[in-house]
Amino acid sequence: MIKNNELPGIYFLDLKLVEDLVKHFPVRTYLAESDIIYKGHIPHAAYVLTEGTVQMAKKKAVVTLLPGVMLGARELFRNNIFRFNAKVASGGKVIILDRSSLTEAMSHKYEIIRNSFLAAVK
Amino acid sequence: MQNPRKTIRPEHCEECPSLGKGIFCELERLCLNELSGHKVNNVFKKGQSLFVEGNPPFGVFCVSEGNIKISKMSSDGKESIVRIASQGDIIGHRSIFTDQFYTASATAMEDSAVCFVDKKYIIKLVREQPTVACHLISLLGRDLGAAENRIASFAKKNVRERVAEFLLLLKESHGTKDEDGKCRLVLKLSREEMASIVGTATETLIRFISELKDEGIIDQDGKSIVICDEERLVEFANISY
Repeated sequence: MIKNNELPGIYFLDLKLVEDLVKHFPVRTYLAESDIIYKGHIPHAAYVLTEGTVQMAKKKAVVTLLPGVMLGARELFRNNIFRFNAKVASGGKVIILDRSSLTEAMSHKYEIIRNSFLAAVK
Repeated sequence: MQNPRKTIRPEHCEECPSLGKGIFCELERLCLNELSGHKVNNVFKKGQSLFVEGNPPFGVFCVSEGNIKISKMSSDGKESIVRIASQGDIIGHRSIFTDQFYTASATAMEDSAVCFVDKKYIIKLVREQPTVACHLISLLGRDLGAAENRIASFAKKNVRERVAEFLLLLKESHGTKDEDGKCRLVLKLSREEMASIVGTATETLIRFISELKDEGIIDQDGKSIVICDEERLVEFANISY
């Protein structure tokens, strides 16, 4: 079940769906703490966090996101800028969905994956 | 002092300031349009990272404007700059073809407009467009040649010769002719960055830069270095080819 966006640019996925995604898309580990999206940038990819944390920051406000969150899908699909700085902690595991993979996900043979991504980019 | 020239983010490849210098520039209009729609372009501010050593690669970066330093961190925390990428250069290509993690970090040295093309699309282009494949092979060959020369320099040349050689290399990549015929290096590097590239201590580099200035071979205009006597600089560099 996909929840409504509580923060712009963020989508929360059910952990069951994340488990399904892990079976179909490669999971990458960030060995070093890294800025994955800069505020004001169009994301290079959508990121689904499967393990670890991502910190979203805007000025002094910081939000820590946990596994199950997807960042940047809508902005990438629409060529819009992301409004926060997003940093993945060292050891964080993500599914990286670049533009080609995002397009694949939206026409995936499994309905739940397909519908999830179509809803995420609306 | 703020740079009055604002780095713009080109929407289409045909608007790119480095048009004609990159590996995609010879694509037919239709393919170029498709690439323009697929790539993601952003302006990276000075100090922002394109990627960090040890992280997973998933595409290549094409520099349309600005300069990006490629560096490695040693175990004692010292940064070594291995390359500077400028207009038309691509970065991150080796990691996507070898499927290894990034072996270096890429950081913007100034506000830089950079385009990102994902791995799947690049591989599709390489398979379908021979010009892209040929340019990539040529680029890899050039990188390999440069790396071999650098290894040979470190093995055979003393610091003074390496400093002179480095200035000559900078002249090729970032040199512009002044009205009086002298060559100005437009890339402004700190002494620490130059020392890192040459492979020496900052104090040693400063000493040799001063020596070259005293000899009248180079001059300094603010933060820019001007090459006044290229012939003597070539002699100092002890270049055999």
